[in-house]
Amino acid sequence: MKKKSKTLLSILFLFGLANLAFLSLETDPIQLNYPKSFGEPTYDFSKNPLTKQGVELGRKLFYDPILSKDSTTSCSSCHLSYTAFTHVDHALSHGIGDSIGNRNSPSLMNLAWSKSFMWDGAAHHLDVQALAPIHDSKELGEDLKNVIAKLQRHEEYPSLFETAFGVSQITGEHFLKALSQFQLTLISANSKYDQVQRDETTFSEKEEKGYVIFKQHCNSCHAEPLFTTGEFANNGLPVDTILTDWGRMNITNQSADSLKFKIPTLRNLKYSFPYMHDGRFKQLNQVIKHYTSGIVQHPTLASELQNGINLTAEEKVDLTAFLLTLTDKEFVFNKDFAFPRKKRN
Amino acid sequence: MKKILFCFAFLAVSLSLFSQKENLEINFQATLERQPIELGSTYEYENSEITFEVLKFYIGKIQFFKNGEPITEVFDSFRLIDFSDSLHRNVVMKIPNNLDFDRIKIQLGVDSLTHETGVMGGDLDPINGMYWAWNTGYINFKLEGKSPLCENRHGSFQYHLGGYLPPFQTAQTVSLEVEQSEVINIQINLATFLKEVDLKNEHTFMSPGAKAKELSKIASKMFTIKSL
Ligand code: HEC
Ligand code: HEC
Repeated sequence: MKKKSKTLLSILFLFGLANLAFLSLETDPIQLNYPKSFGEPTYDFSKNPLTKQGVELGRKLFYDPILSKDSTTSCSSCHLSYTAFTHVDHALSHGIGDSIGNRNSPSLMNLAWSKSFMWDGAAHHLDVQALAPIHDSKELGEDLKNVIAKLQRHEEYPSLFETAFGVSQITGEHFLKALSQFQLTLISANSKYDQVQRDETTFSEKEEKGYVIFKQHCNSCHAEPLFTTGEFANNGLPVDTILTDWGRMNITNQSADSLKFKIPTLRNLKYSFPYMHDGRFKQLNQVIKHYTSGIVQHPTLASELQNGINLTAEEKVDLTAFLLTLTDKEFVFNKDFAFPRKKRN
Repeated sequence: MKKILFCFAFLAVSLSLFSQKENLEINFQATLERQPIELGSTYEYENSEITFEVLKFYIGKIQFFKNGEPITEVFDSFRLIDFSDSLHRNVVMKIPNNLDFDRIKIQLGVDSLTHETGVMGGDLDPINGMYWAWNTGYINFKLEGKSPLCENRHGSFQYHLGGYLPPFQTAQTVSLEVEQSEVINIQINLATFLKEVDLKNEHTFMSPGAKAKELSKIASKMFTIKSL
């Protein structure tokens, strides 16, 4: 090689090194802790490596009403940390995309293992899910641009983006990745159920009996340890004739998916009422009553529910006792997940 | 250890800068039949008139062929061709020196595999407005405008084509016979598309599905080599 280009090469080389040193100085990688039994996450962390700075930025964004047009609503308005990141009452705010207004906000946890998002799986990846709530219409028009422009003008955000992603010019990509980073840390794995699995405690007699019933009738869909398979199913709910929500079929346009909804996790059920995609049941005993005597026949109804589930009154109580062992208080009261208060030195 | 790896990667990149490559430019020109069009101007069409306001689409991988045999392919990232911006009506790419080819195949739209990666930057950043927020996925192709032929309040049409879920994948491949050259001019005859759609009744289309797939196939037929 000619001498000239060699010199040029070494200059480029040094420049690269300097760059590297600069980048690696700034961020602190985060390692997520989760039970082995959860298996490999679906989320590809190599495309969005978690860092302390990225997660903190995502958390700030999650709680910041700057994301909504009129600066009144933040993600946390509908996903409250103290109720496992769901909305406490069903009435959802206006102005958010047409289908969101008809649906019950799901709790947010263990999202790194989810294969799709929304009750009908409308969002195929966590990174792009947030596009839905930050704009009104079904399509992304100017709204994301406006949010980014607002953030760019903000006194803190440009520098926060720079520390997290190395550039102060805010992009849609970095904004969405930051939101994902925070949400990916929302891991719930310390309920009584988990403690029993780790041999730290034992179930009561009722809970133990309920666990057996659960494994027999519910586990095929609400599979341990995430308490969902992540698939879609028709669990026999009658169609709400006003909302007429066809679930998964809205997305796939296939009649085989009619009335199928994403199987929700049962973790932290205690906080996530009202239940089902439209929040039609306020109490857990209504849910159990549905499975024992409310199943409606339909061509897509799951085969294991064709004949309903027979449970005695006592078995219903046992099953409920087990379901309540999925409550993870530590998750719900985790300060790292709550509204980010300014640190005082 | 990571640093060393990085240096090697950097070295490889720098070296490749010195290897023998030449530029190939692909230009896109939108027309209505033979009439070149600009966004915002009004043209005669079907005894009425038509104005185009948006023409945007993604192109991906470009494959080169000689005598029906694949020779090489070039792909670094998806590019958004946007006619509202004169700087975004062409792509310039590096191809190996003295590449002998007589046909190119251009990927039109974002494939299913890319969708699975999550959010991306650059031309694929959702901020470019080529993304569906409900029923997420890229919009591969957008054509919007106005015409009295459309029977709606604003006399407007909007075709947003996309969708990556089987069986309604909409990414297309456009195969074009070309002459060896440093510049390839591709004509997009919008009339080819408009003739196949029902401007009067089907003026607004913006969701994935069987129809999107059908319209995407028609859209790919608009692309031809510009005859000078
Ligand atoms: C107005 C209330 C509301 C706001 C504000 C809101 N969400 Fe939601 N969220 C919902 C509802 C309702 C759903 C379910 C929608 C559906 O299934 O169609 C949902 C679903 C989700 C899901 C999918 C969960 C799953 O398991 O499928 C995630 C993740 C999520 N929201 C995150 C966010 C983030 C991040 C923000 C802020 C950018 C946000 N939400 C703002 C109500 C809201
Ligand atoms: C065939 C699969 C299937 C089986 C079996 C099944 N479920 Fe479900 N479950 C679902 C689906 C799907 C939904 C969501 C339905 C909807 O909202 O339209 C759901 C919703 C729920 C909910 C509401 C959760 C929430 O956050 O809204 C509870 C509670 C529940 N199931 C408990 C049970 C129990 C207890 C059993 C066993 C007696 C059981 N399920 C068996 C598929 C199933």
